Amino acid sequence: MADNLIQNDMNAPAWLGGDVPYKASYGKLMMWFFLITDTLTFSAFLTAYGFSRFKYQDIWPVPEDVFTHFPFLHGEHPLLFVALMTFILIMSSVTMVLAVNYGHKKEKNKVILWLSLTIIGGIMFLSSQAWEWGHFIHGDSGGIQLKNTEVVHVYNSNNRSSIYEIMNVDSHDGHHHFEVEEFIEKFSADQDLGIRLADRTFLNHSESLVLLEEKGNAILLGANLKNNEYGQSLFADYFFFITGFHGFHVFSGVVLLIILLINTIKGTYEKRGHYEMVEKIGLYWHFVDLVWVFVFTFFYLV
Amino acid sequence: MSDHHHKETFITKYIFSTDHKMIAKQFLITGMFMAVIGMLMSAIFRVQLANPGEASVLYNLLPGGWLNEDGGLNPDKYLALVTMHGTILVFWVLTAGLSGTFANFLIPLQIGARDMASGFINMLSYWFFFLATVVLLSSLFVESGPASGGWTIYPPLSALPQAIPGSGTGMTLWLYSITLFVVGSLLGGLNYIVTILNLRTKGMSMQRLPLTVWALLITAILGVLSFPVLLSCGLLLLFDRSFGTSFYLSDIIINGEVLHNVGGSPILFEHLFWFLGHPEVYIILLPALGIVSEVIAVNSRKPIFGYKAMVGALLLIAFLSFIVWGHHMFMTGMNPFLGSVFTFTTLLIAIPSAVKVFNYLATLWRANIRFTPAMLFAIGTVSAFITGGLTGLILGDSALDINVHDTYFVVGHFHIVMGLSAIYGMFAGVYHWFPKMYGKMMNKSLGYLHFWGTFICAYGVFFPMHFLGLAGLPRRYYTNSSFPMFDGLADINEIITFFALAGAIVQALFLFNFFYSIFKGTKASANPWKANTLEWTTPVERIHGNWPGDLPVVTRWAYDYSKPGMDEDYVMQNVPLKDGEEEH
Amino acid sequence: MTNLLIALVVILTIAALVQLVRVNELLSEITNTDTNEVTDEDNNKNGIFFLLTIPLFLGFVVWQMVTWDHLLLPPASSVHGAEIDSLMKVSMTLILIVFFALTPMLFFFAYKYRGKKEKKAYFFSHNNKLEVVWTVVPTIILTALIIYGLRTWDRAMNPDLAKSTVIEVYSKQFDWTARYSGADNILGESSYLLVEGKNVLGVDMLDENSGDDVVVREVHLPVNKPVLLKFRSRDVIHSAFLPHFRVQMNCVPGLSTQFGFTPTKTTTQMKESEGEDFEYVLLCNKICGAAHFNMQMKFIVESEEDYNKWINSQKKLKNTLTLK
Repeated sequence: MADNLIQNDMNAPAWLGGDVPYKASYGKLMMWFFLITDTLTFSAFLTAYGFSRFKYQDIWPVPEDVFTHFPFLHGEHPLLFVALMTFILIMSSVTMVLAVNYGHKKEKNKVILWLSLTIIGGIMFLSSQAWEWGHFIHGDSGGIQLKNTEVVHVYNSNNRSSIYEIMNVDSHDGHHHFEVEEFIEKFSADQDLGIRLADRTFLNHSESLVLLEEKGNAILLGANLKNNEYGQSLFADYFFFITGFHGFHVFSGVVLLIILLINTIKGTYEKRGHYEMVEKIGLYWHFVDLVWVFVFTFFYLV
Repeated sequence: MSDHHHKETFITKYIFSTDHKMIAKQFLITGMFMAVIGMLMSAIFRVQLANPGEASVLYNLLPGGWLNEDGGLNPDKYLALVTMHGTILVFWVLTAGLSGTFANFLIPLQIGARDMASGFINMLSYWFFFLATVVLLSSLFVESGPASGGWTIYPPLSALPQAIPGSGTGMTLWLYSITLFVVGSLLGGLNYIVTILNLRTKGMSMQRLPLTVWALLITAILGVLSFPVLLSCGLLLLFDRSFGTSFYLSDIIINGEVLHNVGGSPILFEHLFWFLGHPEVYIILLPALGIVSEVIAVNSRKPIFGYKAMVGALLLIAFLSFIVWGHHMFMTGMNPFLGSVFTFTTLLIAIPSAVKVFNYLATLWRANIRFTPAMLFAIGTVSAFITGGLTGLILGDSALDINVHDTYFVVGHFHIVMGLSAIYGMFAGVYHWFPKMYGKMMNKSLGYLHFWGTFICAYGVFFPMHFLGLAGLPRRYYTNSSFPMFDGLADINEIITFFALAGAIVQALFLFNFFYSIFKGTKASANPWKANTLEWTTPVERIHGNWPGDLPVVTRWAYDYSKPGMDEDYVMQNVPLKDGEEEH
Repeated sequence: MTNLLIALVVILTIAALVQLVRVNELLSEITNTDTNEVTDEDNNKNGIFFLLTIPLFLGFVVWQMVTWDHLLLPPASSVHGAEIDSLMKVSMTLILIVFFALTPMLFFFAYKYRGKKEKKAYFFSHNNKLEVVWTVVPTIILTALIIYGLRTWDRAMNPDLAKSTVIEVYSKQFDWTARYSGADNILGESSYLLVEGKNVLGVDMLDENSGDDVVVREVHLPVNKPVLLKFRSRDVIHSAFLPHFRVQMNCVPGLSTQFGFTPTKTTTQMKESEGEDFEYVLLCNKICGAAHFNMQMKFIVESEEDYNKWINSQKKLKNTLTLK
């Protein structure tokens, strides 16, 4: 392919044939176009998510109420952990830029350093995401599914009450399952408890009891693809699907980066005379980061 | 390119080749093979429609479980045939078979490149396609049958095996197959775009590109932007089917069972599907039009009229194709205002289409037409494009669509634009570039017979369908004998089936001609059609790297046919300008 | 046995073709000509075939239009349907004019400009004025068509609902059920979760509006009175298609869709013009499974008097479904 790319006439404008119009090799161009296709794949998912969320906006769970945990810390820290994850991923993009930069300068050791840091950042992100999933799946305070499939929650004044506490069990101690009847028994004993409906309106204790007795269907603990304790089943469906698809991209990115690192250490790119592969994978990594910004914005913030 | 140093084995030359010309032929042969299967399927279900419930010798081609005790076709297997016919013809034949063949074959040759930018990725694109083919064909032999929800696979029908057996394993295989297909298409598309941008030989500016290359470039861009959405759409469906999610499903009781899914929307599926689905039909059409532009110019001995307008029309059609998808969904109950928007954009797309037709007519005006079989098919393409395009104006108008949506009127329309227009373009391409692909000539008389036979039979099949549609006959009906109001249409159905079977048989002429000529055809010269484009400057024997010496340098556009002041009625693109000659 | 014969026919045909082509080749060797070269004679022949295509193809089209005209749907039996029919007439006329102008032009050019060895083509590569003309003229015509079409669409999609009788049409594999909303013209609430036993439509009998609802398997409509059909589906996407009224609307599980219209011709009137066997019918028009081809429900349009007699004789839900 090399002879096509050699410019015989340095004055020829780039589009007249015999030249590369975007000053990019075919490999880099292919990466750009591949990223365009991947953008469209993610856009389709985010659009579908928007479509569904708009349809159910009144009863869609508020992300701030759901994502409140932080490793090793007690209490509620709404969205703090996911913010940290975002920060880690963005920083890994910064380290990637540095790796590409030193690649241009052909400074092998610096490339190794910054690539390694990027990989560490990627692995930290993946581990954090796994932790987030684990907590999401395990659940928080539990929810009650009504016969019309709506999911409601228990409140004590304006504070969410944990079904586990009401049932007097430790949520982390083994697998739990409660029947609606046994829950109603415990619920009726405490006059301070009330139900908050999915559209965030409140019922007092006696109204709540009536609702639970007539329409209570199941106690939901945790989340899976069929239903979840936070609200509408699509909330969990999209959470798993979109963050999962993104996580798959991060994972494949980490794999590619590791291969890149090994090749750099072996001196493959020194022999080749250029570190363009670092740049191409860098493009992919930045894309993965950018997608995360959109996912973070539309899923967690908005 | 130092390919002539590689030692070739049978495997590297014919199986895992990275040479774009071989990969093109792989796409062509696979496409032709699938076309035969798809066409046999249509012959079978046409027989069912002409003689509902009766046995037929053609049914012997089907797996045993598809027939009932009387030897008649089972209704759900009729739907399976219709589904697979659509899937195979839209994706396998008219997308992979058409784009895959001609993009691969023509792009490097017409732009003056040794091969595609990445021969390896190109090879991968074929083998993903091959795998997709194997998976799809395997679904035919599954006990519950292949996918049966129409090629448009709307959920919940396509998500629930309880709704129709084919939505079980058959549908899962369909989804896997399409995933592989999309990956293969995207890999190919990336290659085509990047090659056209980066590997044009010296002097081949964008304005000197043959229209075929423009069409293939724009098609590839369309694919890159729209296929990923099909992928997403299919992945969400896969999850609904296998993992209990509710993206498309809600409020369903099937076979007495209340499903747990809540919140999903089948309309979401339709939006995502048709966001690809509409550009897809232009992915099918544009390469055909690109081929036809070339074939008409060469055989008229005149430049294609209005080159810039033709390019502009291609670009406008491509752009508009992204904002018309809702015309497939007028009757879904979506907001009528949306319906109005889509009517507006859909009727707009008629304008660049009309411009193209007028430009073709102007090319033929005062031409000196040489009727090669390719030229006959090119003219057939234009005729079908006029006929089919015009009925699109009826369908695109939402108010009119109320009564023709999902009737045979639609079936007539899309078959004429795709099954006639695009397929004729594909035939034109095969007849025209066969000498370059195989170094032999196809038999001319058989080609004439093939064209006229096909032309007559094809219009005989699809024109009457418009009347069936205006009589209110819905599509995808196993039989039309359940409603007394359709009893009068039985004769029309028989006529259609007759022409369908006759047309199918005529294709044997082509298949025979094609394969016989590969081995026993008369040897071709390097430029038998006396055409201008760069592929005809390569030697007949076809070598790796395409040109034995240096790459050609381009000095003019592709359409100097019958240019005043020149000795011959054609001037190839790499011929330097004469003294005093002005470039067009 | 039949299979053997078919195989034999196929093999012999191929053998015959092979021989034909070989003879062709031999001839060309003997006469030293290239049989695959396109000659003036070939151009002449094909040119004449294209010329003949004009009367034959267009004749075929006209023949179809004339012979099958009586098979097409009769004029619409609804108010908006009559408007759609007018729009269809105008649109069809337009496309037929264009078809009958361009198609002969194409084939005539193919004939007139058929190649001859001594002839030379006219090097005419572009003309911007022409491009403008044939861009602007279609644009104007299409704009007019679009405006007309959108107005018809708007009226079809926005009927006056205030006076409409509300009727629910419920689809499932593989039949239709209709539910009239009764005197209060309000349909009782319903949910798929309430489908059980005789409560085929999942009507919530606790809703006060449900008691006067009437469930039937044959729809009667009073002529010249607007009606609003509301659609639901139990399982997969179906589509309610009433071709004689120019009504079509998808029935989507999880969604509620609707279409309002006013019938203008009674079944009796239609029987007079279309024959005794005529019936208005509702068909399914979206692939829904094996028996998609046989999902039907009869619609009867009658005088208001007959309609009232009929509806009053139907049992109300409060009498047929026990309250839970």
